[in-house]
Formats: sequence, C-alpha cells, structure tokens
Amino acid sequence: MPPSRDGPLPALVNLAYYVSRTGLKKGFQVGTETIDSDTIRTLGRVAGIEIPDEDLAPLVALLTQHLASIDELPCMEITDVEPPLVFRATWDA
Amino acid sequence: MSNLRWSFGRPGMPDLTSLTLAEASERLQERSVSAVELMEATLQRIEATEPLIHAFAWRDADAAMDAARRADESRVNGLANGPLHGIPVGVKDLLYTKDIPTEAGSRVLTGFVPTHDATVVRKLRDAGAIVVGKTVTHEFAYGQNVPETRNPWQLDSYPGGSSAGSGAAVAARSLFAAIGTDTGGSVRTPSAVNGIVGLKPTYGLVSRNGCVPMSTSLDHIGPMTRTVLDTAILLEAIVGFDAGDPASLRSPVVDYRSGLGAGIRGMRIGIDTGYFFYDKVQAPVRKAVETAIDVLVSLGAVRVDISIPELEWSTTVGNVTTEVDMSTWHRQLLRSKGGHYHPGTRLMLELGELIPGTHYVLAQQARTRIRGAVRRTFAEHRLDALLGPTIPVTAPRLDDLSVDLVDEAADGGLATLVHHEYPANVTGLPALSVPCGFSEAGLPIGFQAIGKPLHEMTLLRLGHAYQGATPWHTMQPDLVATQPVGGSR
Repeated sequence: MPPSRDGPLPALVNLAYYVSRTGLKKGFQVGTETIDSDTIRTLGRVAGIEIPDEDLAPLVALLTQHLASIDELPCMEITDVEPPLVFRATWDA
Repeated sequence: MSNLRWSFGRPGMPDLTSLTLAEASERLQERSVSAVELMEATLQRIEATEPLIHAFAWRDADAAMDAARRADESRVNGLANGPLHGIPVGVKDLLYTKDIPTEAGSRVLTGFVPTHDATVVRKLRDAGAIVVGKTVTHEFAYGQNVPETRNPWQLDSYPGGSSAGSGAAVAARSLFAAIGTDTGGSVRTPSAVNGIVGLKPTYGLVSRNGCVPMSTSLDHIGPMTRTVLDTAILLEAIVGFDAGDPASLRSPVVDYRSGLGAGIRGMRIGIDTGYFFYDKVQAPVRKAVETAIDVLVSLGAVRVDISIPELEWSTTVGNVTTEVDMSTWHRQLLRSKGGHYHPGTRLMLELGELIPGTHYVLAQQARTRIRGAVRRTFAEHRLDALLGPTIPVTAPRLDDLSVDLVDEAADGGLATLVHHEYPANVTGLPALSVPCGFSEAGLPIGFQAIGKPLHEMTLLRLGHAYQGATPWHTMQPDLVATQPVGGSR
C-alpha cells in the first residue's frame, strides 16, 4: 500500500515547533506592531476568507517570517527600478 | 556510454529499459527493436518498480501498447517522424492530457479530464513519443504535502519535488524520459536527488499552455532524462512559439544535437562561492561539485570567480511571487473547495491572500535588480555560465524533511532546497542539472549550470562534455535489492 497522500503534516509540525520556541501566546512583535491570531482573523476577513482556527497559529508564524524577509528588500537600491510588469497598449500583440 | 544490463527474469535478453533514449531510438530506427518490444519492456519495468517508488499518478498499459503497435505500423509505412517515434515517456500530472485525468495531485481536481492536450504533450505526441502515464506531483506542485513517490536510490529519502514522479521514474528506468515543471527548481531538484539530467529552459522557450499554473512569471516546463544527449532530443521536440502562452518566445529553431560535441575549450564558468557554496552546502556536495569544476577545467573550461550579492534576495522574491500568484489562481477554488486541499497547501494559499500588494510590487522591483546584476556579471566577466551545486544537500530522509518554505533555519528543508534554484526562475535564465557523484550513503549529487538567455546549447555542450568524461550518468539504483518502505534499513 502506498503511503497516504494525506499523510503527516511536517509543515504544521515544524511551525508548531517554531511557535513553541518563540512564544505565540504573546503574539509576534513586528516593528511596533504585534501579529497574533486576531490580526490574522481580521486580515482574512478583509481578504474575504474565513480562516479555520487550526490555521491561525501557523499563519501568525508564516506572516511574521514573510514580513521579516520583506523588510530586508529595501536594503537594495531599487527606488529607480521599474517593476517588470508588462502592459501592451497596442492591439497587434 | 551504454550501461546495458541484463533483465531480471529474462536470462539472455538485453534489458531494453537500461538503454538511453538515444540508444533506444537508434535501435528503433535500425529496426533491431520494435516499439512494441520497447513498450513491453517498459511496462514490465514499471510493474516491477511501481510497488516500490510510486512514480505514476495514472497509467494505461493497454492504450500504451496500442500506441506502440501504431508506431510500428507507421514506421513500416515510412511515416516515422524523428528520434522520439515509439519512445515511451511520462508527463507530470500538472499537464493537460486529452481524455486522461489531470488532477495535479489534488482532491480539488478529482475527476478533471481535459478536452485537449497541453502544447508540450501535443508536441511530444506529434513527434511520435508515447505517453505511458502521468507522473506524481506534490499537490499543485506546491511541495507542502508528502506524495507517495519514493527515491529509488534510497526508499526512505526525499524523491525531490515537485516533479517527483518524473525524477523517480527516469532514475528507476521505468521511463526513457519525462517532462517536469519548474517554478522554484521542480525539474532540477528531483533531477539532482535522483541522479538524472534536468533542464529548465529559458522563460518562454517552451509553451506552458495547458499546464496548471503556479506563477505565470516563474513557471517553466522542461525535460528530465538520463543523459544530456537525451535532453537535447526532447528539447528539440517541445520548443517553439505558441500563441496560447502569452510569454512564448519567437526564437530561431536550434538543432541542439548537432552542436553537442563541440567541446568546451575556452568556455568561461563563473563561480559565486559566497552564494552557491554557502555554509549550508553539505561537505560531500561541496566536494563533488568542486571536483566536477576541476573536470570541466581539465576539459578546457576557464574558472572565473565572481560575486553577485543581489542573488541573496532570490528566495524572498521567488516566495512572494509564487505565494501571491498561486493564491490569485486558486482564489475561487479556495473559497468553494477549501476543505479539499491538503492542510499545508491550504495554509500557503491563505498566506498568499494576506500579503499586501505593495510587497508583491517590491518583490518585482527587486527581481529586476537581480536580473540586471546577473546580466552585468555575465557581460563584465564574459561568462558563458554560472556553476554550483544544484541543491546544497543530498536527498533528506523523509522523516527529517521540513516543508516550511520560509524557514531557512531548517537544514534540508524546502527553504534550503530552493536557495540555489530560485535565481534561474526569477531571472528566467536556462539552467541544467547534471549528475556529478554520490555521497557515502549512496545518494546522488548534481551540479547546476545557469546560462545566458536562449543559450541552452552552451549548457548542453558543457553537460555533454562532462558526461563524456565521467561515469555518473551510467549508474542505476538496484531496486531489486532495495527494501520497500517500512522494511529494515
């Protein structure tokens, strides 16, 4: 029998470890703001999705990590760089 | 270099599945082997290996045999149309196949049967290749679940992803070649950990029309084979402009096979030690790739030490782009079928919905910066390629695998695996993974060469020259002697 497609959840386990290591109960400090489950729930509501309770804690960790990585990007001199988004005004493309 | 072994259970008969694609094609053309015989051997091999490696999401032996009979008939009638005529191949279950289920490894698409082939699949069929089956992918190629596929070199190890089934099947000799998709290394990682060759072509060279997308600006489709020559044969069949893919390039047709033997004398290879040999590169990987560089230098290549600090932002750019693009494509499905996703995939789709638009634009600006820095470096140092390990580690044991894409602290985790891969995706440059050794534990190691836009030929020449001087691509896993999952180690 092949292992189940819906097998173990290493991502969640890993995040649970991350959460236990860093202390989710108090929420994560990002700059002057704290991200916690309520923040995630509110952001989900703004986006128009109902986030299941079991996803709240992992998302606190994931969004915090995301914000930390994004904070590093402005170190690059990119203010004069155009985004590589392609828009064609012509009708022959 | 042939690695003809003898088939188990058929004493005296050559095991056709141990031939490379090019060798099998040669035998078909000289009619010393028929397409039916080749297909019978392939199906027999699949029957023997599938209980161990679970590489296929779908297969139809009867349809494959029918196609093989038709291939033989058309050859007799003088209608064989090139080196792929009658060759059994597999395609990742992210690619549309007419009248055949395409489920992208997800319950969300259960029962979905496209009414047309993906352009790549159509081109393969037009070239005479026979699609034996659909190969296993992580759910929607996101890498958050653990699919049933196992690494044929060690069954308790990661088979790579997300083109896991393609990599394992080619390594196990269950297929002569397969097609994978690559958004953050999903052709190259399974190629490296399974000891095969994988090419992510230049962005836009191979049409993505009919491929379930991850990120429209990062997605690529590429060949996975045992040798560089086989990759060249497959690439020739699948390139070309396609109006069905907005990013498709109108590029000149290249005969990738004829220039393979031109050698690499004077080829300038850039080595960014700070990025591609950073502290997470395992010692056996470092040693194998440094030895591979020495081999290339002995063949006439010139080593040039360079540094591109902007590459450090590749993982962030790749992650943000993929996360937001994925969530955009899945927006309706997440709302209507959220409970059908694997929980890990659903979590990442929710994350993509929470990322501000400003962050996405910032990532695209950083991406432009990375692209400019790489372009300048190629020009200033007159480089033909960048070279380093395909991934920093050998295949992690599945028990140890962390699929957290954003936590670099986890050794062997996905964040570590994509570190070397994302640069070629965010720049759109071609990248070739070539087997270059094994760890003491017997796990394959690969090097990656990244080239200039549309310079696939340069990478293929480099890989072909390397394979002409080394034996790694001729080795194959001894699956018969390998214990099934759950057996003793």
